[in-house]
Amino acid sequence: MTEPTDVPQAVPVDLSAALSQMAGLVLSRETVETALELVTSLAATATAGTLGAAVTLVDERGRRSRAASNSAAERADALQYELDEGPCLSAWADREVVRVDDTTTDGRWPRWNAAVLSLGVRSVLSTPLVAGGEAIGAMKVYSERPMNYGTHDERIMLLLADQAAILLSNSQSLHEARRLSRQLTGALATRDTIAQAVGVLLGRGAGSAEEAFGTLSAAAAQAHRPVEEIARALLDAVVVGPAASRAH
Amino acid sequence: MRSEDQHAAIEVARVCVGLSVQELWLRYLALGGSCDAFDVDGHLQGLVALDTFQQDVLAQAANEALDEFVDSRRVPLSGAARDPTADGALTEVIDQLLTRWHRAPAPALRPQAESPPEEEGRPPTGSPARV
Repeated sequence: MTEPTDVPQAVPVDLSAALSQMAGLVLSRETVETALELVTSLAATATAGTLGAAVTLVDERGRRSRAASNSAAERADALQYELDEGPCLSAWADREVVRVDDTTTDGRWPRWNAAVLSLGVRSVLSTPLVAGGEAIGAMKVYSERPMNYGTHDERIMLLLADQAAILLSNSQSLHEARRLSRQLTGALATRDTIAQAVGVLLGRGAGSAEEAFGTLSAAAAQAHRPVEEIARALLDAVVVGPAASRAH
Repeated sequence: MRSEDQHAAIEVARVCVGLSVQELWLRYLALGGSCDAFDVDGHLQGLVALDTFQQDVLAQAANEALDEFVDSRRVPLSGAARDPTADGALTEVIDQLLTRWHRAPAPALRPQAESPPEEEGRPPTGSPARV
């Protein structure tokens, strides 16, 4: 164990490294939505006799985003979530290709099969999207013809799913990077406010920045407010002038 | 509190409020902390020693997260809502902050300070000419 006294002076935060790391992720203007649309239309065109294709993404917080090439596919998808059963949910959960040859005879998801029959859906092929060892969603094609999909379509969909998973997980990282960069911007604004307040206290006789921060922190505990709020109130009081702040 | 106990207490607080190390680090960064997330992570696990000031900033970040966590779960009473830390209290705390060092003689850049704009309620400061 190192002694606390051995610790070198804290180095300034390397912000440029953090920012350029994020900028690396912001390579393209692709968003999750446009990537989803691209993948959906690819799936629809790569398989013959397809009525509609759809992609569902599930992020680590369980939120779903989806895209569908037409309203029948969208509805068939929505029904799976409403009924909480269906081939795509199984494909995603079990990480296996799921094929329904005929919705009128398949017994695995009876409620969903009955519901999609009214949409004209007779056969389904669904592949999980797996990126970096994690199932991030499922991609599926629906057909009006029974027995429309075979092992050849399964292979095509699996090949496509591999690439789609990479693309989609990258777009999700981009999304995450945007969120992080927003948080970082917020953190820097707070840091500015506190640094200015520390500066004010130094100007008023505080012995060191550490002492000034300690005083702010003690005031925060006394008022039961976060340090940032104390710092902002302090700056407001200084800018407006002590007499005016008392009149508030 | 000894630093060995402090890092453990911060780690307990972090887990209790459900913050990731990254999220706690970001809060610490916002408060003016200057160690990287790796060091903070190591510190929470008792592997990296931080200087006292960095430890205190990290403790403050953890305490604010704890306060938010508790405040958001406070059970309301049926009576009228009353915030004991209303604006009056905040103004008072700020006033105390701003006048805290006034009693000590200023580092005499100008022997004659400007006369205060108002005399109301402010305790008389020491003789400005005293150097």
